[in-house]
Amino acid sequence: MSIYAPSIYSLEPTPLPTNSHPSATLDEQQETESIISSIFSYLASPTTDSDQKTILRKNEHTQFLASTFFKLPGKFVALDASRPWLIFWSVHSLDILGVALDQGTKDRVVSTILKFLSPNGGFAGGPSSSQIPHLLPTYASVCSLAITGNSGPGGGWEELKYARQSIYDFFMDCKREDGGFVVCKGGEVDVRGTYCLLVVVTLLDILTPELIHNVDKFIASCQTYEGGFACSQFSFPSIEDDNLFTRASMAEAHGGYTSCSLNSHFLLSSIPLPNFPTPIDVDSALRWSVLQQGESIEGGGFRGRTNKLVDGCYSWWVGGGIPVCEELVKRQKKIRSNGKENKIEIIDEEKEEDWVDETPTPPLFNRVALQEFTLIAAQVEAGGSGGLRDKPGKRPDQYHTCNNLSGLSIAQHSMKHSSSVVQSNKDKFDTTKSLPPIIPRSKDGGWASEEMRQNARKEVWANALGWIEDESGEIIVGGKENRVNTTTPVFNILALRLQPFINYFYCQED
Amino acid sequence: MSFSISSYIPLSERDLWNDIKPIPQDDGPNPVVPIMYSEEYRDAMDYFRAIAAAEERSERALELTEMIIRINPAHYTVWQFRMATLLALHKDLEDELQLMNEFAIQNLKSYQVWHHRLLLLTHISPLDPSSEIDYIHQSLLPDPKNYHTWAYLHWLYSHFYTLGRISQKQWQAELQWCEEMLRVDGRNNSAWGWRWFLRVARPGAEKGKDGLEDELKYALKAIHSIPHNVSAWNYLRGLLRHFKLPLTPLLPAILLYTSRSPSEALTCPEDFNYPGPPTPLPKDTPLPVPLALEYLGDALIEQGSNSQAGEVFSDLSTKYDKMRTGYWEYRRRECVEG
Repeated sequence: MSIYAPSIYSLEPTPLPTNSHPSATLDEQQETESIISSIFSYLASPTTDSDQKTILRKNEHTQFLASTFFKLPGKFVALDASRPWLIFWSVHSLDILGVALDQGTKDRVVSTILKFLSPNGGFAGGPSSSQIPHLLPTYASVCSLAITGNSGPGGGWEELKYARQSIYDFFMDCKREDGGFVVCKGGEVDVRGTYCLLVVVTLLDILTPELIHNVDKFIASCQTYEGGFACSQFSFPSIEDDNLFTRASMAEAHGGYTSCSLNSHFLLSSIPLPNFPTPIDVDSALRWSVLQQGESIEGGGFRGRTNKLVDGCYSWWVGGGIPVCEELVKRQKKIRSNGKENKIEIIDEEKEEDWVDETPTPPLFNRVALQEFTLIAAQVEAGGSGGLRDKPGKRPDQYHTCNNLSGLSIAQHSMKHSSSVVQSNKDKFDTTKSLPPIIPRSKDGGWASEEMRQNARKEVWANALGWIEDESGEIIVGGKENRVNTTTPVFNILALRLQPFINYFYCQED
Repeated sequence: MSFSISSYIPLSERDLWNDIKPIPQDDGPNPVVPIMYSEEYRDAMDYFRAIAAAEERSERALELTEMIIRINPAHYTVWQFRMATLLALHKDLEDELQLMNEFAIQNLKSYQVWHHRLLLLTHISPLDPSSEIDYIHQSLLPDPKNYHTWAYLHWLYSHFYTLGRISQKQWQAELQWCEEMLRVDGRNNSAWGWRWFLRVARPGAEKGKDGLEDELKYALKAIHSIPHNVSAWNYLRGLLRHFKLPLTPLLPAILLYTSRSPSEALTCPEDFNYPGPPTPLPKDTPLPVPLALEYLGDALIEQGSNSQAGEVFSDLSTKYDKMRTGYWEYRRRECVEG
């Protein structure tokens, strides 16, 4: 195991010092410390030799997830406008666990999702005859189709192909001048919507300059003084200039919004436009992220905000952002050491070096402790319902199961964005093949030339497929049986799902 | 439960709805994630589909949407339809606001409830938003870290500020309210975020040197009150970074927490007037405080003492914050390989 990622079992379970200053935050913290440290004391460690050792109970979780596909009890009505998410959480979790769906179930998933596709573009939270399209279900639906669909008749991908322009038009309907997007007609504006939109735009090859105009500024101004990101920002009109805004973030830093913001920024950073995207403070984003990891007495799970409680869902929201931070930090360092501002030029120069000759960076968060949190605290007790949860004492659900497992995958596998892979992708990109270009809304809203469009397609495609696993960095707590599949940072689908899907829309060979 | 089911009168048996042909949900054959809806919800949705298709704007549409939202407060389509109907019928939006207050008491909170409220306030557009501000303050008392509520409070002040409807006195009163929140729970990071907005981020926040000095002192006092409070440390660091100020000048105020003796470079200047740690320190304040060591490390980098900074990060990595061993090792390497 890594000396830079000590096990919970090797660390003193020290409570948060009270400073003799009681408050509600301290009370809640102490209660959580007590619940989590006690479960660590009575369950056997995942690494013990005893046959009592705690393993990842894949069969129980599979049972829990598979039941989602059939009749759901009435209380699920609260998720009646989030059915694509119920599907995504389940199919992606099963993918991470390495459980193959039978073709019949896959077909049912595809035909259900296609019912959610609005003829006006975008996916709704349920049948499009009942519900209006929304950015969040659009992400969940498209990713579910990437996982379960195929390019054949009725496989869902062809239907998506024909819906590209209408999805684009829906996205433009959501767009606001300051770079934010409403999540649906008349809906709220926040970075969840931006993230969901940018993933879909990237996957379906429907990117235009007009769509992403000011989006980088919107994201950058959600970053808070702590380094993490808030849900949204407010644009105060400038008195001097109608086109200028003073922007302020609209709440404290939060794990979910930080994930959406970092991933959005990363996706925007592949787009070859001058002075784009507006930079973010990468060092403080990384610092904030690692500080969210709880102490050993809290089992090493992540919290979602400073002075809040650890919760298994942040294993993905915060943990999943750390490889992205790592890559952004690496790029920043290269720019500094080259003393140049032009990122495109630098990427061209680094063909040879890449990261193979670098001393491996220590894991930036405690990947061992997070796995222990997942196995000991987040899994529902053996012989129970299966599924993963916020923390002991909470019920499991599909959302927490998916986010715990996605975080577990990030903790086990060392994912790197490889500039040499990106370069070789670019070298083999075939610009002669493309689906019909998107018709922009405004006359000059598209790419200024076909050459620029092709260059953007190439960069976006090559970077999306730039994530690879550094297999020497694999850490599996509790042995091989606990290994889960590798999810792709930024997108959160398996690499083996991402590649054929994105290639289909960019008309590239596998 | 069987009683409540049998007591439900289907809409088809009510005169008000007998002109409408309900439309069942079209899930296709054998869908995944089918939900076993209650009779009441299924019925209401069947009629909702019919009136939504006809874009009917009517009183009964408002009744129906309320019925659905009470069962599923996250039904964004129904919320959107309801708002459009309220506006089309020129309804008194104050009544709707009252209904939303009732929803909040029943804990029917969701993204949609808060957004609906935001739209209502935008349309009502009161000349003085005081009563809404009071309402939000009240609702934060039992739930002082509700993210939606805090985001809404940010919006409320931002929106009404741009309309010129927040007086200087209101900004002052808000700051006092925020300080009271932090007095009650100095670890409430949401309240710290609100303070940042009031004191730094909003247009018109005092940018003068005195204001900044006061703010640095406020953050230091908060650290002295609860030395292990991450919120206060982050606020202090945030201020210094935002205003591009060096860390070193404040070092004497927090050096005690590093358990290191002041080197020559760190002697306290005579005119140093920042608050220092209390004597004695509060009980249960083990030293060093990891965030104080981080502060020291960053101050040393700033002074060009990279190897000393590397030692500080090495101590964090190997002794004082082992959960983040890897991160502090990364920081150490950055110092020495720089």
